[in-house]
Amino acid sequence: MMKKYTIFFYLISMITSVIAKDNGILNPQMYNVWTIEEPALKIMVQEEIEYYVGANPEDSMRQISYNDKVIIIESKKNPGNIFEVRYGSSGDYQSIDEKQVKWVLPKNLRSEIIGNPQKKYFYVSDDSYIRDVQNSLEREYFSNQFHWTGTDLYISSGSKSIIDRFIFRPRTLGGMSINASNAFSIKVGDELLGYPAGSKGNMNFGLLSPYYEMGIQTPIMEALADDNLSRVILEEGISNSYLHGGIGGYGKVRLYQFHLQLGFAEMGENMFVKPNVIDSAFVDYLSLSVFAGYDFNFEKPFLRLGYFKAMLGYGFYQISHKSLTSDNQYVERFLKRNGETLAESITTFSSPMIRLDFITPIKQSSAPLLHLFTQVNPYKGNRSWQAGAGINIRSFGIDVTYKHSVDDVDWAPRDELFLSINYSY
Amino acid sequence: MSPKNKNLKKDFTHYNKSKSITMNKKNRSYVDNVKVALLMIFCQSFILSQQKSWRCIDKNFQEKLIGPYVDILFDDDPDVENDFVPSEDDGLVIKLKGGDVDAIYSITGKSGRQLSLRMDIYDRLDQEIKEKLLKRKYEWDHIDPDVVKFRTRGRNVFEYSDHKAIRDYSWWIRNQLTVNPFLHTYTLRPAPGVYSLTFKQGDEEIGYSTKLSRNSRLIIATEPTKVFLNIPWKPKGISYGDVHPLERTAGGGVSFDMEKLGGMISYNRIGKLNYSDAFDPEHIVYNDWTGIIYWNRSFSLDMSGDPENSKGFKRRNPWLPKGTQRIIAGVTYAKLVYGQIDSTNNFTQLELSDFAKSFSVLLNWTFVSQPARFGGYNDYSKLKGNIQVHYGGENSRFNMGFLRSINSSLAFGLNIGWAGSITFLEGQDDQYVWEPGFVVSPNFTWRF
Repeated sequence: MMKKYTIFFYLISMITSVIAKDNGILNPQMYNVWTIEEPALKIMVQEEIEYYVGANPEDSMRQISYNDKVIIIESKKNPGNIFEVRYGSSGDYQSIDEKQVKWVLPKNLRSEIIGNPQKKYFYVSDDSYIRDVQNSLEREYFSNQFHWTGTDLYISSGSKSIIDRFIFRPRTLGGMSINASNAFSIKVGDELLGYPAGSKGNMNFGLLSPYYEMGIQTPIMEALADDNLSRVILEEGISNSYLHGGIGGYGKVRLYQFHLQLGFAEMGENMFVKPNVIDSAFVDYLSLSVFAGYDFNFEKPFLRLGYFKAMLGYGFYQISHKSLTSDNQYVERFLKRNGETLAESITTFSSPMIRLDFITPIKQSSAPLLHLFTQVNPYKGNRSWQAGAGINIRSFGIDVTYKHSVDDVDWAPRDELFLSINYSY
Repeated sequence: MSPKNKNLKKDFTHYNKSKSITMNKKNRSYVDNVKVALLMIFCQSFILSQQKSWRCIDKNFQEKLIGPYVDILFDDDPDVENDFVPSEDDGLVIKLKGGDVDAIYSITGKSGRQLSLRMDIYDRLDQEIKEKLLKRKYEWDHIDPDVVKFRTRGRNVFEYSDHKAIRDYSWWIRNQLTVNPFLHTYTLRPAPGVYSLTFKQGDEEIGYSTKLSRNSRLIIATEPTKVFLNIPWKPKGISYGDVHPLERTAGGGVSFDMEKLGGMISYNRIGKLNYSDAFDPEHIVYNDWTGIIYWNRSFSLDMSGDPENSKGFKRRNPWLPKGTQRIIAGVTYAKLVYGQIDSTNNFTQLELSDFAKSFSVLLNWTFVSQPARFGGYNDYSKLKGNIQVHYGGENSRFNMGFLRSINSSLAFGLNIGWAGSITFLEGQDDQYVWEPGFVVSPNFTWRF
């Protein structure tokens, strides 16, 4: 059986493989390679490249953008000197050779970047940029996965609101070019917390950048009346199990590989909230959630089939239980749907989370042909696991996520399936 | 820094200043001074920020420019004094204004003699060499190489975009450890300064600074982002004033501060507050959640004049030293909860602040004088000042403060905070007017 799967994956990788570009590939034994991650230092380098490219249009170098990786290559034969600087993203890198580097970057900045005897800024050693230029695409895909975007437009349809994920990164404003460091974001659900797509009840509207995300939470704006084909309940644990949505806020920041997100919501008099209450007797909603995660990126390909990334995290959230009375007031509720008594009107869950992602090699597009993942959220009293797959062809993709709830809760069916289609540009 | 570089910097400072002072001092009244000061704050510093300068360290290129320059110079004035003739071995410093060459200096290697090249001669040079000068296709460096070396130790390289020099003073610190016992604020930023840990008192981000809030905050920060926990610890700072502070809460949040945008979101709960621990059990006000988003911009500020361009007049004594200023404009939404706690420690919510009581416009102006260096890579400014206003229909707040450094280790200052009253349960029998009050807090700072 295992053999069949291995052959299957191998065939997929063969189908999607193209010959790697010779350009840019160097012997990793002979070079030290790293990316500058210190935002401040990166800005200094960007400013000098901007000036040089602007002053020398005949060199046909492309202008650096805020989101570009800045890759430093030092030859082990000639330590203490920058052999090459590359900048760009998604496998499309502009190279500045040793001679040009002296023209582009000032002497002391070069010295600080090389960092003799040691670098005193945040950087990530990564020879994949010279070992296999294509490999950086996978790294970038994983790096952006929950935090940023590799394209200017990403739109995914798969919830009652029609849109379950939307990212728009403008490059011009009123005809003027702007630094594409921020994007508008809409998101339904919180997969890492254990509530993918519409199962969370809330949708987020906000600003997104590689370092932060911030905005407001609202109930899912229903654009589809009744039939929500994107959410298929395979086995209903307790009838009518779902989370309501409230009004609140959310924020997320990254501290290098670590990220932390916070969300909160309240049911209230808001015009968006009350019309979305389906069952006034049992109003359960996610009133507070905190999630922290740390990415482990496995750099080496797995049997040439693809790449793995693991995430370890810790989730904490509270479900508030309320009822909407006939005089339009929310009151705390201490009863479950099955008549059992709740100890408190707020139930708290917390547990570690583990997730594993696998993607096939990314070639010319911004997404892999196949993306598989599995995730476990063993909250005591609300254990669940998810598995999912995504297939992307050129700019289009389709995603399927299966969620199984081990424990019966009022707000989640036992088995459910989420479907979505996406387009990126 | 070598004497040569010091001289060079001084010369450039004079040059910048000479461009900015054109008014006749004799006729300048006090009002004019204020006008000029304001004009400088908002205009001159912007112009200065558009200037760019560097030094060429490529001998071949220096020869290619200075050789023809000297030829034209002799054609123009065969009797020119030697002091005005650059040598082909001289270093070159190029200064741009906008996209054009504004000035070129030749620097004699051993003596460090600086000579301003005549721009009318430069204009007659071959177009190719002039283009190459601007294209910077030669090895070059910053005028003050130490600046780069110093800045990149994980601390201050944003200075080049006129941002981080001042941002650091609000965001974290520019040295390894700062202790403010009066404000009960402590920040540790171990070398190389990639992370910092701060404990501080008060909610100054939403205008309830020092004792206007009973909250304490534990912050982990990186260059662009912060994660913090709000801890309901009893405030211990020293301050004076008649206050009814925001009640202590437990919670947390995240914040970011980038080149142009910044923001914060936090969430709190009154939790297990005891009746005996409450400031006023009958009238408790706490911050439920906060959202802030702001735009920011930083400018250099130099209000001193140049005596060389105003012969016979003494240099004006600027009311602010040379430094950097930062302007923040944004909006704040701070949801407040009004309620009371009974003797069994049960909290009852009586009102949740509406839009008018929660929303305010945020304006902040901060200034720090040009930093000096101490202890390897630590950094301090002699003067820091800030004014912050939250203007809202029913919830205005005002904060201001200054910090004056006696030396690199010690500084003293004063912070003032005021928050306007908010009426809860308006029109009802149990209407309550919350008056947070006015507080003055001395500031005494140790830096290590």
